[in-house]
Amino acid sequence: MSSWNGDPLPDPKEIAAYGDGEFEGQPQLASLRRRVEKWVESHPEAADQLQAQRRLTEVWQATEPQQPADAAWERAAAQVRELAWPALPAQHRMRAWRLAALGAACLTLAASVLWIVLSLVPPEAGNEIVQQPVPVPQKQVIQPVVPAAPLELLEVAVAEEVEILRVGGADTSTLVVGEPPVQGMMVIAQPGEVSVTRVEPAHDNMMPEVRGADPAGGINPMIWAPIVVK
Amino acid sequence: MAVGIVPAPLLVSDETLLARFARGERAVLEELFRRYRALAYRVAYRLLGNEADALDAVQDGFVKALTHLPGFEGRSTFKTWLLRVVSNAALDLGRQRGRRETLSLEGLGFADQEQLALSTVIDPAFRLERDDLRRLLQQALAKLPEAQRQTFVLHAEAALSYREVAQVLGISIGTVMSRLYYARQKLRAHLSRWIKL
Repeated sequence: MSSWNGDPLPDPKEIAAYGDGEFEGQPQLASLRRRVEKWVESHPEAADQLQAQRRLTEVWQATEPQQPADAAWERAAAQVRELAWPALPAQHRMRAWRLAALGAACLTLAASVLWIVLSLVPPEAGNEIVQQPVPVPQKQVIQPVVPAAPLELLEVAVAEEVEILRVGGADTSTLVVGEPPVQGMMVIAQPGEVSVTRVEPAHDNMMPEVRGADPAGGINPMIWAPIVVK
Repeated sequence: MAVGIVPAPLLVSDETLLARFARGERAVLEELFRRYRALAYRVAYRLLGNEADALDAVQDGFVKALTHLPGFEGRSTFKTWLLRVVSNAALDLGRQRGRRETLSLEGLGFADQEQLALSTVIDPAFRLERDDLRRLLQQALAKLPEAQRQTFVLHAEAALSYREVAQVLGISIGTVMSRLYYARQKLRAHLSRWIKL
C-alpha cells in the first residue's frame, strides 16, 4: 500500500520532523502536517514513535552536562585571549609591520651614516685615542656555553607513507567499493565498464546514495578497489 | 511609593560585536566568549564525554573562529558558524586522543534485564541515577557514526532547526532528517536495555 485515503504514506522521518516541531510556522508544509497528524491519530505505531521520541528528549534534557567551575572557565578564557588576540585585522597587522620595518630601516641608515662620518673625520691633535692595556684578571672562570635548543623539524609525509583508511561523509558523490585499507593502485573504471545491478544497506541499515546517469550528460565517477580474498 | 520598571539591558548584536572586534576592540572577545561558552561547552561535552576534552575543544573552537573571522562571510549567524567550528574541533580532538573509555554500567550493579522506570531515573532526588544515565547516554552516543553524532548533538543540544543544522554541516535537509532518524533508532536500541523508553 503506497497511499492512504488517497494521500501518500507519511515517511517515519516526516513523523519525526513533525515531533520536532519542524512544521510549526511553515504554511508551505500545512498539507504535510495535516497528513502526518491524521496518520498518527489512526496508527498506534506512529503514535508510539512520537512518544519514544519525546521520552528520548526527556532523557537528553535530564542529563544536561554540568558546566565547569569558574576557575576552569577563567583559564580557558585566558588561553583564548592569548591565542586569539594576535588576530588583528590584516590591514592593522600590515600597518604595524610597515611601521616597524620603516623604523628599523631608518635606524640602520642613521647608524651607517654616523659610522661613515666618524671613520672619515681625522682625530684632532691631542685627541688621539690612546689604547690602554686591558687588565687581565688573575683568575678566569670559564662559563660553559649552553647550546641553543635544536630546531624542531616539521616532518612531512610523502605519498607512499600515507595510507587512506576511510573516506567519510554521507554526502560524497562517489561510491567507494572495497575493504579498507586500500592497497596498491586505485583502478579507475571507464564509463561503460561498470554497471550497478544491486545496492544493499550497510551494517547500520543506511542505504548508500548511488547516482545514475547524469541527466545533463555528465559522468559520475566511481572508485573501485581490488578485494584481496584470503 | 513610586514603582518604576527597569528596562532590560540592551543586548548588542553579534554583528556589531564582530565589527568592533575587527577594528581591534579587545574587550569584545570577552563578551563573545561569555555569550557562547556555555552552549559551546555543552555541544563539545556531548561529543567528547568528559570535561577536560570539552574545555580544550571550546578553547580551540573559539580561537579558530576568531582567527578565521574573514572566512565568516555572514551567510549564517555567528552562533551557527561558531558551533560548526567548535563541533569540528571536538571531533578532531576525539580522533586525536582516541575515545576515552566510559564506565561500564555492569560495574554499577545494573543487571542486563533490569529496566529502570524513567520517572525514577530523572527524579532530582535520585542524583546518582542521573549521573549513571548521563554515562549511559554518552556510551550510546559514542557508538554512533561521527556524522550522525554531530548532527544529533547540534539538533538536540544546540536546539538548531533542521535548516540550521543543514547550513552548519553543508548538507541537505533530507540528509539531516535521515541522520537524526537513524541516530534516534540506535540511541533507543542502546538505552532500552536499561531504561524504558
